[in-house]
Amino acid sequence: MDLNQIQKIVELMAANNVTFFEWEREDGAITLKRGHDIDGLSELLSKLPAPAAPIAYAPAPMGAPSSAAPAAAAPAAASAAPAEEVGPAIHSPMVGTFYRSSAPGEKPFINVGDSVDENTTVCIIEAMKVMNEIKAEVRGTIARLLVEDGKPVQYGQPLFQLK
Amino acid sequence: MTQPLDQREIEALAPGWRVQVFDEVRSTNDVARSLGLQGEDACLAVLAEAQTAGRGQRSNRWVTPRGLDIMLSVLLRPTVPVNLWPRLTTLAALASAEAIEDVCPVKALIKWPNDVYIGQRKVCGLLAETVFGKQPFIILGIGLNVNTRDFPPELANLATSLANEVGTPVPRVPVAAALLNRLTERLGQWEAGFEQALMTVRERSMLLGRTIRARVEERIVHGRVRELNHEGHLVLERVDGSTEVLTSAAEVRPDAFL
Repeated sequence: MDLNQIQKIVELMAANNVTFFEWEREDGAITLKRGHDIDGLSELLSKLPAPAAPIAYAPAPMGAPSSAAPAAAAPAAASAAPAEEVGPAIHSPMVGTFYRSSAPGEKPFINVGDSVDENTTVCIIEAMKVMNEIKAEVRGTIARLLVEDGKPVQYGQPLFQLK
Repeated sequence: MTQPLDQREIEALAPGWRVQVFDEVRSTNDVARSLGLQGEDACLAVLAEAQTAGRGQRSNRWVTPRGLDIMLSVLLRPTVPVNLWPRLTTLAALASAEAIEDVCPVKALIKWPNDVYIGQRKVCGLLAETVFGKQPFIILGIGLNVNTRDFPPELANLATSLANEVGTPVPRVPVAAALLNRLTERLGQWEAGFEQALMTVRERSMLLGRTIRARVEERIVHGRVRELNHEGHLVLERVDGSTEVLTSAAEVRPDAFL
């Protein structure tokens, strides 16, 4: 692969809002990234001493501002009214991977419109093969899902918006 | 079937643990979990002779013939901050590897993050589930192949048992007790002492320094394992020198295994 080809790929990535490109062959490999260095950021975050209370989480990756619910998010999000009174959010107590159901193919724990209370299980955060069953810990109704199934989450990151 | 597991014998050999042995359960994790929800104290160990719906990672099944192996779930109520709970995997994998060496003349290695291997075959796997709420707890499940000699064809090259390694049946009571005793020791390093435990984990790591492939979300990551960091997370260095920290991955394979 020569410089022209790489430049072409970079242009295509920008044009299509692609943030990550990895290409590998026997004679070499190339990785291209655009935007914030999310990996660097998450490594930095994981090195911080554990704070006593949840801190602000890393900013959402570019292209996914929280106000414009990403079109790629779960279809249920589309039913959420946009200008609803904003309630508290349910935050991730740890770094890990977010799962909406107990196993692939199982029903999600909760959907938009469901009422939750202190004891409602809302998701699983997996870290190091520890499946952490996360409780809502507040009362409310789920207004929006903020994270997609199977995606990594940071300490303190909002997972669900309540109303 | 080998000698049945005897709860009193295990308790006598593993002070500090309350042991309950069941003949057949869906999964020892389910039993321990319902006992936890009923308010049972920590340091409870649940074992079963047979398991009808044992669980592995997410939906993977763990194959367990009757009376041959160890299916152990322990109930813990950690006092350490919740964000340190994922350290349990690292400590428990280490404890399991050490317990295996206590009872058998083999070398047990840790395949990040939750499997124990002898040579190039898996002998033991673990999985933990937490339940938050008023009285939060963790169920740590350990599946250890002790006396299974024949594995299904698709596992024959991937799995082993203690009996296959040493060539004779291995009594299970001392194995169960060794697991519990090593857990007692290593779980004492959950907060202070974790770095020290990690040093031993690194020495036993199958993947450190090797080039691996793994599935993370829907991507395949490929690179050299540069480090197990201060939390036991895996630091992968890609060909271009960039790094990625993994707290979770599936189908982790060293290149030589491909």
